[in-house]
Formats: sequence, C-alpha cells, structure tokens
Amino acid sequence: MPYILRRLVSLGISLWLISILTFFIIHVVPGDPAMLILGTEASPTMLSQTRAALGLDRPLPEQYLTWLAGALRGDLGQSLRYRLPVSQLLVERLPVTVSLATLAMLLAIIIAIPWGIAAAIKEHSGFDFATLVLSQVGVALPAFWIGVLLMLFLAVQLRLFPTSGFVPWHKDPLMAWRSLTLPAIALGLPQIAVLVRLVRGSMLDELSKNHIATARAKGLPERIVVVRHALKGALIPTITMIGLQLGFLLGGSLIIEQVFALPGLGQLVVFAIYNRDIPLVQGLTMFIAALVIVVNFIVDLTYTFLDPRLSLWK
Amino acid sequence: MNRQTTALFNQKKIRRRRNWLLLIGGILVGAAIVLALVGLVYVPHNPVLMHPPDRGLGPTSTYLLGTDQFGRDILSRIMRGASSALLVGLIAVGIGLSVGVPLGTLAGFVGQWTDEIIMRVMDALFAFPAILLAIAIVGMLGPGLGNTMIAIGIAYVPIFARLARAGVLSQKSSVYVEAAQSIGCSTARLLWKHILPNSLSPLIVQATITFGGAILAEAALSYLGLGVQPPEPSWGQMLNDAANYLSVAPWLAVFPGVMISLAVLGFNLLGDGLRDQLDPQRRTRAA
Repeated sequence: MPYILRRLVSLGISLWLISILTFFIIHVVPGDPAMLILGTEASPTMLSQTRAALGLDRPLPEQYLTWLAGALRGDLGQSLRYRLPVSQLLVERLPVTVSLATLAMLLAIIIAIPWGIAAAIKEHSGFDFATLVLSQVGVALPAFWIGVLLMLFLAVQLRLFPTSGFVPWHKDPLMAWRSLTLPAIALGLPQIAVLVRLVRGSMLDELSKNHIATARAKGLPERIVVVRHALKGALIPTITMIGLQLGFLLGGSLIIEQVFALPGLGQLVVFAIYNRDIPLVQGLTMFIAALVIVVNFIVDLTYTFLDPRLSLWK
Repeated sequence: MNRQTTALFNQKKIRRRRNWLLLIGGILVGAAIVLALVGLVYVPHNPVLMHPPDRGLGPTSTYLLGTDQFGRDILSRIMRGASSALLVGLIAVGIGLSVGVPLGTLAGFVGQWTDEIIMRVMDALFAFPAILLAIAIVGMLGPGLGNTMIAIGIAYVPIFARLARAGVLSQKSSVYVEAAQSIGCSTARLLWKHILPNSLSPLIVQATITFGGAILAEAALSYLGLGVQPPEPSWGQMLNDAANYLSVAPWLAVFPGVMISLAVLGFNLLGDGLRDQLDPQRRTRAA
C-alpha cells in the first residue's frame, strides 16, 4: 500500500477513536444536562420531556451514532447555553486561537532554529552552556505566569500593549497584532526553550555524520556545510517536534486566552466546562484533538520532501 | 592529545555535567519536599484566615513575602500550596504509572491484536492536549484537589503505556528471557521479576519529568479555578488572584510563579540527571 494511503487509513482510525473517547469521557461522568437547562426546580415530567427532546433517553450507542453522523456532516449539535450551533461558535472563535498559536510557533521557530544551530556550532563554549541553562529554565516556566508578568511590565506599567481583549484582524489589523503580541510571547517562550534544545541536539548529531566529513573534505565552505547539509537532516526531528508541540500550544492557549481575556476556543472551553454545556465541551474537545491529529498527519507528509528516501506513493 | 585521550576527556566532561544536573535537581526537589512537609505541620501565619488590616502589604519582617488582598500571609500560603502541588504530582504520576505500565506491558508482551487495540486507544488519548483532557475530565467530575489528581493522572496514562511497551519489546527477545522461559518460568513471574526491572530506568526518568509536568498542570487548572478550591491555597490560584491586583500589589504575581518554576525546573533537572546516571551509554548531546 502506498505511504499516503497507509497514513490516510491510520488517520481515519485515529479520528474515529477520538470520537469514541470524547463521547465516552463526557458521558460516563455523572450530571444531567436536562436539569442544567431547566434548573433544579423543574418537575420530573418536564425533565423527561427535555431529555427526550435532546435524545438523552436513548441508549448510549444510538446517541453516539447520531452524534457521529452529525459530526461527519459538520453538525456538532447545539450549545445548551448559547442556543447556537456548536460549529458556528467554533468557526467564530477559531481565528483567535489559530492566530495566537501560529504567532507563538512562528516566534519560536524564528528564534530557536538559528539559536540552536549557533549553540551546536559552538559546542562546549560559554554561549552553548548559557543556551543549555536558559533552555532548562525556559521549559520550567509556566506560560500563564510569563503572561501575567508581561502584562505587569509591558501593559500595566509601560502601557505599550493592551492588557486584555481582542480586536478582529479585519476591523483593525494593527490593534489585532498588538493584542496578540504579549499572549504570543508568553505562549512562545517555553516553545523556544524546547526547540532550541532539540535543534542543538539534532545539529550535533548531524555534524558528526560521515556525509558532513565528506562535504568538508570536498572543501565546501563551512556555511554551506552547516546550512545545506547538516540543517536538512536536523530539520526532520525539528519538524516532528513542531507538530507534536501543536498539542501543547493549543493546550497552552486555553490558559493564555484566560489570562488576556482573548475570545478564542480556550475561553469557550472554559465557559462550556463551567456551565456544563455538554454538546459544546464535546464538540470542542473532539475538534481540538482532531486538529492535532490532522496537523501531525500533514507533518508526516512533509518528511517526504525532506528525506529523498521517502515517497508519498511508495 | 591523541584521539583516545580526547574521547576520554570528553566523556569525563560529560560525566561531570551529568552529576551537576542530578545535584541541582536533587537540591531543588529536596527543598520543595521539605517546604511541603514543613508546611503541613508549621506555617508562620494561618494561610486561610483573612486579616483585612494587613491587606496588600509588601514584604516586611512580620510577613516575609508580604500579604495578599485579604491580608493573608503569602509565605504561609506558598508553603501550604507546596503540599498540594507535590501531592497532585505524586498521585497523578502514580495513576499514570499504575494504569499505563500494566497496559503497555500487556500490549508489548502479548502483541498482535491486543497490542493494536491498546496502543491505538493510547495514541488517540495522546492526541488530546493533556491540559484539555484534564480540563474536560475535571469539568465533568467537578472541581477540586482529588479530581484534579485523577484528571491529570488519566492524561498521563498513554505516556507510560508507550514507554512500558517499548521496554518490554526491547527485552522480550533477549537471551535471558528465553533462558527464563526455557526453565519453565511463568509469564507473570517473567514479566514481574525479569522484564519489568530491566525496563525500569526510562520509566523512572519519565516519572520524574512528568512529576514536574503535573505540578504545571495543577497550577494551570487551579489558575482556571478548576483545581484546588479556595480558601485552601494553591500556587496557580494565587497567580490568578494576583492578576487582578497587578497595578497595586505586583509582588503577589512574583512569588507563586517563582515557586512553580523552581519546582518544575528541579524535577526536570533531576529527570535528566537520572537519565544520564541510569543509562551511561546515552549521549547527553541529543536533548
């Protein structure tokens, strides 16, 4: 079976398993959505009517299949609190979270790759040692604490950035940029630390390989050896890590959005949890996990461009 | 210096750095444990009792780290918060290990369909960002310290299952396993007495690093108000409180964050140090 087909089958299975897990996690937990809608004063008849209207009186497997069939058509149900389709809320909130996660990741990539390469080239130097120390510290810093500190110094004291809120890109791009800068730095700093360590490690591994010795022996300038020969090999683990980090980024943005009051998916998840809005929790959880899996699928496909031994069709 | 001595010199150099990791990590973790244990039996002031006349004080000789918006002593709250943080780490890692290791071992040892089914479910579980999974579980179970531990623990199951499976797979075909089987060793004994002890080091290392991750996750959940419930203090919740008083009492935001970072740094360094100690062949280069 060609590589791409194998990967597509495994993607399908993973998405299906995620739907089961999401449904299972939400439904084994006690709690009555009907009572949530009507309040504790509701009569048993009204409760059972509402349960029937929501389909909660049917057996779990049937409920799951109905939900899955809807999800496949892009219908994730109706939010109990907003009284709006979950998919509509998702589409409204997604741009904020995607912008935040993308900015944070770009920041991490732009800083971490050159930094990691420089540290690897200067292995055992003071710069290399400082890199290792800083990356250890960076991994340990909670993103939301960095967020609070950035807000304290750059927004509250120096008033360079807004403390919270978000203006959509299409209304005022400059303002949107300003409102996302601090959250993106907070979210990106720990990612820089993770990536610097990885790039440095992979570069050192690559630089000790035979093909690098050959390239040097041919008399190629060091710059070409590093950028064209070593970096290409070191990029595969780096890209894998970037894909894997997406989950952490989305997880981290759930908290960062709370810190900076950004109206993204994270704020919606927390709202849904507080209000026990089960269709919303279910839809969002499923969507975020599916997003992580799909991005990692795309990451897997990019290997074929970096490693000539791999092909999409073999 | 010839090549051999250079290699030897480099190894010595690496060795020395390894010990530093273990030492600094050990000191930080040890300090956190002492703080947590002392916090259980002695705190300078009552950490939950409000004392409005002293609210919003900066560090003084009576209140070494200052007081919060209700006049509660920050140091005492940090000490008590250390106990919850470490308890969550301990129980969450315990749950992750005690569910993940048997599952991974079973998958690796039995193989075939059992392996496929268990590992596909673990992969799917792994696709959920750990913090999202923990938020969803704790949201459904209800907020609180106990449910936070369970939620974080469940989120960590796939990590340990993968590691345990990898360990079993690498040991399964070893000569000593064949030898044990040939003299009639039972499967349970083989797994418990032979295979598991030999694949323990990566699990110990991962457990240590995951411990730090659990502290971060607890802080995040408590920041969102889903973890430790007030008035009981926790580091994450203290940071959330501090965010509302940034312009008047900025120190409130500093100390809990420093504590979280130091504790997590300690466990990460200890994990890296242990990895090098337990597996000397591994080069520290690939981070």
